[in-house]
Amino acid sequence: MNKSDIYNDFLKGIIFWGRITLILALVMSFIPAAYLYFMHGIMPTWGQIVAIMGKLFTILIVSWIVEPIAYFPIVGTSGTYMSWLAGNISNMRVPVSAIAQQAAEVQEGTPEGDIISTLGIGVSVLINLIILAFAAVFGVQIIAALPPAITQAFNYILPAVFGAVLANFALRNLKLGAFALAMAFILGKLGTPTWLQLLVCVFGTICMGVVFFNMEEKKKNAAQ
Amino acid sequence: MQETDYLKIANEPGLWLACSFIILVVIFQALVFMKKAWKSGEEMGLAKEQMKAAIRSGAITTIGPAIAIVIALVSLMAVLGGPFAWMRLSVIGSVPFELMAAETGAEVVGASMGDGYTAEAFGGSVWACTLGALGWLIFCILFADKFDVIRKKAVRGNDAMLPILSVAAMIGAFAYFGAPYLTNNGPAGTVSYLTGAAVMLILHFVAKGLKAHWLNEWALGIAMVCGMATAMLCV
Repeated sequence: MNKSDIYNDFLKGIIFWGRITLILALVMSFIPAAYLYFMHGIMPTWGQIVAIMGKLFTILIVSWIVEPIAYFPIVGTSGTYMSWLAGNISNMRVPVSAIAQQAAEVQEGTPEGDIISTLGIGVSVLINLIILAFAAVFGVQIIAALPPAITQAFNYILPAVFGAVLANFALRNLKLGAFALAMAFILGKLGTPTWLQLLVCVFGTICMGVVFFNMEEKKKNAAQ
Repeated sequence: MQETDYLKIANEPGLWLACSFIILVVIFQALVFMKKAWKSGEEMGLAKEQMKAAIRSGAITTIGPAIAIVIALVSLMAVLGGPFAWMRLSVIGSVPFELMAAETGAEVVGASMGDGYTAEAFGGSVWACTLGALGWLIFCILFADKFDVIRKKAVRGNDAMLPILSVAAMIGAFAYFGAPYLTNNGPAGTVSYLTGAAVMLILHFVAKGLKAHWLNEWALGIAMVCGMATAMLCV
């Protein structure tokens, strides 16, 4: 089998199991709500449930659609199924995918990149679950025992992650890095809705990337 | 029912059990995907060392953000009880989403997470977190398999362009994530951001110069710690 056959086989398996696990998870996610009703008779009225759905729908409908699309070019098919089941996509899965591909020295967006990203995100899902399970049992005591400065410091972990990963990738493509950052600044200053900022930053940078790519191809062809 | 009585229910063993089923699905999925990736990776000719590097860097990079979630988990446990808070932060969504959904559910029932939170409010929060997460699941069940087809079509058979799409998407996404910390979240966030960026670049060049590939696996972890440390100097 050649590489693309192997990769297509891999994708088929991922889509098959991805669908099954997401459907299973959808059903399982209702067990706590069902437990409260059957064991304790606690449940909002149907009217309240409709009201909850209505409120959440208006707040989230754009996120439900825009976010999976925007992050797909980074995390790939397997990463999409894993990230939306295990959550924490921007603060964990996307950085992990980027850094795993860098550490394994594979090209992003290729079959090899996707395999490496799957391994990185998979282990990240497992490690996060282990840490949270441990924390659910001992977390209260541990946090109480830590000096407040330590817990406060974790408020500042995300900017360091974002700065580090952007610097890393912008180094490989300075023009794109400058373009993306400028756009993010301008959109932020204009007070554009965040979902639109995400969409424009990701797909705007992709368009610019394609434009630069084509310009370089032309230069190469002209030189030949 | 008294205000704090609901915490007995919210922390009872049966609810721990009820909350753990979905976590088993998450574990199962991660294991199946990793096994498939490992096997296909070997067939494609990826070196075992590369795949192990991916796993190590994934593990190292996860620890910092996971501890940040733990801190949110502990405060959420005080309101939602241990099992449900643990489940919500272990699957679908993120800290801001769960807070928003839990509060929305409580509000509809006529309470608030800060005040007058009862068993009924807890029920509202549970339903809201559950329903709010459905959108992503349903969207991915229906469409996640189509994204790759669209991506392939977008490059019109020129596969050499696929890496550009991914790298540009990463640059765009991280510019979007980071911009707020550079403009309006206070000096500590900005300092952390710039330190993270500087440390990452330095480690990148050191790793290259010394041919120390293992350093790439640790780079982001080290950058996170340095970012947090310098931020604390400014608070």
